[in-house]
Amino acid sequence: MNPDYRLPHSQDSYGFGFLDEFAKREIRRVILKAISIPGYQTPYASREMPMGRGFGTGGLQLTLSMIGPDDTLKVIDQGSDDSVNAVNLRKFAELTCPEVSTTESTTEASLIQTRHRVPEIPLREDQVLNLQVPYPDPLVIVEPSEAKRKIMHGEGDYARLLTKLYEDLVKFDEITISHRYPTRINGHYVIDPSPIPRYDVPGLHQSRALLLFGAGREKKIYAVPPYTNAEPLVFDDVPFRTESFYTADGQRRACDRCGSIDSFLDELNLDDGSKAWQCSDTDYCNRQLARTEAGEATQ
Amino acid sequence: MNNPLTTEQHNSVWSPLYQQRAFRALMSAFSFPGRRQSLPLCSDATGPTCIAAVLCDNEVSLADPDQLIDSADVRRLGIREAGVTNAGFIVADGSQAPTFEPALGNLAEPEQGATIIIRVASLEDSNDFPLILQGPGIEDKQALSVNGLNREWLAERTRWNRNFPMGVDLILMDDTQVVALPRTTRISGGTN
Repeated sequence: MNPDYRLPHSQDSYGFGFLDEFAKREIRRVILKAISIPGYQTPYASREMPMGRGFGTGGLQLTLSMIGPDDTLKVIDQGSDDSVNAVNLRKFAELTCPEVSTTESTTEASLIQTRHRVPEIPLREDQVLNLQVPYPDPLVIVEPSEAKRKIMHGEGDYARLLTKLYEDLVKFDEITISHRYPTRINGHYVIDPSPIPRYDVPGLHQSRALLLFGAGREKKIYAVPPYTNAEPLVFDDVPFRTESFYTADGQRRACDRCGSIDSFLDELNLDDGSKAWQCSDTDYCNRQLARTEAGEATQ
Repeated sequence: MNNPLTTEQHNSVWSPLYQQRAFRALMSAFSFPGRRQSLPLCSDATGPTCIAAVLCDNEVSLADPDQLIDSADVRRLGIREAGVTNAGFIVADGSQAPTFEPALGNLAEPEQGATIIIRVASLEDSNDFPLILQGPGIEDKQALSVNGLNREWLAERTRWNRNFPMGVDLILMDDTQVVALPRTTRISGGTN
């Protein structure tokens, strides 16, 4: 988007935050019910947004219905503030929410909208994380009827989902779900935590910040309240495993840019056919780099 | 683009800016059950009207058996009035014991359970009614003091919420503050 772009004069009368007040009020009611029933996919109307469904409209509607002039917004896409989805959604918020500040810093943000990652730096109680969700229902792979799925969710009946995981273990000796790992919230509902890597699933457990999930195309909002149990669905004798960043000889890979050995790494294919690893969370990477450089400067 | 800071009367309960700020207070209240949250100041409403203005419009139904919301405000909200047994929102006086059966939702649609806005005398600290809360949103335990809440409310709430996920969610409010008790919050103490 052109950074100097302004809405045409005929559209200049949109209200703050683009959504009309009735749309905001409905989403606000749904958010409160979603928090009250942790993990339950609460249906809502999902208004048309000036971008296709599937481009983060669910997360964006959450953000726009709660944002105010006192807020500082951060938008990330796969951990990065500078990739195309994040840049465009942030521009849209800047365009439609005058007075709102935007930031790339995790610690300065009061609202964080994210696609497919949870920030590396643990969140605080005064922050809210809005996750963009493509597919909200983890049961859809085992039951095509939504009416039946709703009853299964209500009863906390996830036997068929566990069978699917068991079949994976029989066939591959490993649960083959790499992202969107089914996670049980407060001992009842199982959610699709959006396509975050397995690495981020433990970060949902007893989070200090409210986590909200918005699925715009599927018209669902659900929540993981602060200090709430979020347990990946596993078997007693097969513990949950996250992505391993160890080399064959047992070395933890470091980020090629900042040298960090405690972050989630993206694997990059370089032009010469070799591979490189880099932090997926760009804000975290920049912080580590600044810390290293400051350390070198004082020596 | 309408700038909320330059819009006049942003301390009116009907202004978008007031409603955004009040919603954030309510969202924090539901995220951290039992913690008091201050509603923003407004010049033209008190009590349950402040919450009804934020959450209610002509898409939801409201029951106000104790007539705590001014009839002019009810008209302004454009709200559908309903009986207490099937209203989405119920406004009630906390000093009186509840005499109704609210909607609890059903297994497939637990969000149809009512939200009950209960007016109490005070949420300031008071040894009159010390309650201990546990559940999602509470790190370990949370103490809650409330003045002017008939004890029958807690017994009825326990009965309404006995079959999770069905149940009701309560918002306690005094003149300036709110406390939320979502259906997942477990309450002990206070009953003697």
